[in-house]
Amino acid sequence: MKKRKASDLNRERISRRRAAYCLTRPPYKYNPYSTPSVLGRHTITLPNTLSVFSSNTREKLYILLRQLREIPLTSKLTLDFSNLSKIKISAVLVLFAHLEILLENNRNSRLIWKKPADPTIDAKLSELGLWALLGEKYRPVEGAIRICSVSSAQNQIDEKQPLRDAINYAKNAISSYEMPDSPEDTDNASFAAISESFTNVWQHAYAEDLQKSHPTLINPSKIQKWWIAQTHIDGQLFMAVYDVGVGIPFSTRRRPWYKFLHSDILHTLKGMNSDSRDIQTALAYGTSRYKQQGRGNGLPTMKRFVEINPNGELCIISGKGVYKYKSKDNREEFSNLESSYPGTLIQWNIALTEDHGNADED
Amino acid sequence: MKTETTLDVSEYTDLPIGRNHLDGPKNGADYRDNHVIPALDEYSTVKIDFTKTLGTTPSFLEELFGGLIRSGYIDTSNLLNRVHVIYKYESVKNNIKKYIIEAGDHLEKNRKK
Repeated sequence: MKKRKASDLNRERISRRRAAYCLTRPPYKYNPYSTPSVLGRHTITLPNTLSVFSSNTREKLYILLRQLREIPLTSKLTLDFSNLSKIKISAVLVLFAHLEILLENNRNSRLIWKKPADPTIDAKLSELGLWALLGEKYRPVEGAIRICSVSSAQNQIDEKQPLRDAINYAKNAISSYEMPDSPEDTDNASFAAISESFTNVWQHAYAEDLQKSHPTLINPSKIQKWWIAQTHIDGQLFMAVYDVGVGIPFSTRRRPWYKFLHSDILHTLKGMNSDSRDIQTALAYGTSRYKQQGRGNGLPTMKRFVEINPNGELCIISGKGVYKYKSKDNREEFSNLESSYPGTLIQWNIALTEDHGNADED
Repeated sequence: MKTETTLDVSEYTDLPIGRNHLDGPKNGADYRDNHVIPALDEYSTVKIDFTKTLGTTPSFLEELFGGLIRSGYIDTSNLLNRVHVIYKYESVKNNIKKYIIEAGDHLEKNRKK
């Protein structure tokens, strides 16, 4: 028999360890959203368009948010904006909120960012405060306002200066034009729409007894914030608000009136997915016979801001549902999303002169 | 009872928003209970002036005026006679009247039940 050497024992020990590891190793799962890392640094390249208004760009934004979510908390991150050539404030707002949450979860992240090659996009993102969020000094631009947020804690001690700034920005934009309809209504309607979206968040989206996990966020129950972005271009005001709460469908389903109202309007909900149906049910509540006295003012008030404008648009995205309303032809549209968006995104486009309303926010 | 007083809402907050404590410390229910009701206890006419605020919201106004009726503190006709709203927009005053009447009707319906 051959004499065993020390090296044989080593080999045997290593092979035993490998076999044991193979037996206990969790099965490999492919994660389409994980990004490769080089020397511990992950690079995420942004798509060329940031928008939530087409299924293709929405899907790309969703992939981007999932990629951000999959970055290990201790990893270094490079965000590559260089291909970015088109942005919409609502999509920037969603990205801003996710980045803010990511940075709050990982204060030590070593984040680097490559700016867009297009100087106008770079300037717009600077104006909206995205570079300031990532660490640069904010340079205020006249006639522009950065994205701002109010947390639940700030709300509870009545620190609402960002909300005040947002309201004043909208009022100034409205008063700088001669509105085609009654300006007094638009002025107060803008205040009411922004404020109702703000209070709805604390009443419904972040209700104490509700929790919901989102595939794009870590610990969403710990994040209770409301974000707002605004821009005012060529006679149009674009306003978007966002929260990462439970969303309209989830919040609506737990209401005592839900099943009665839902079955009443079921015949109007054909072709919609479950989330779109629930958004429609929430919108119908304010004028239904199930309306609790004095309640149900939030969504109708947000819609009224658009209704009184001759060329306004309202878009609500929550879960897998999208609702759009155009005041020009009093048309409502619902569409279904493949991926579920966390929280609720609401955008208003308001024409400030008779000549405008169809312009894009590019 | 004294004759008349004016409550300047902007001294309470320039952002009269929210229904109850969930919306922050300054809200419609708090203003009703701690400012409007004490004023109604003391004065026969109370003017509520929203002029210096940044705007008004349905949830704050409904909770303030509709809540006065729902709580049983005052009835519809008394409230309409004793409380006067000062604000630049007629549409807001009409909405307040609507909230008061709706709350009164609702209360009346519940009583009959």
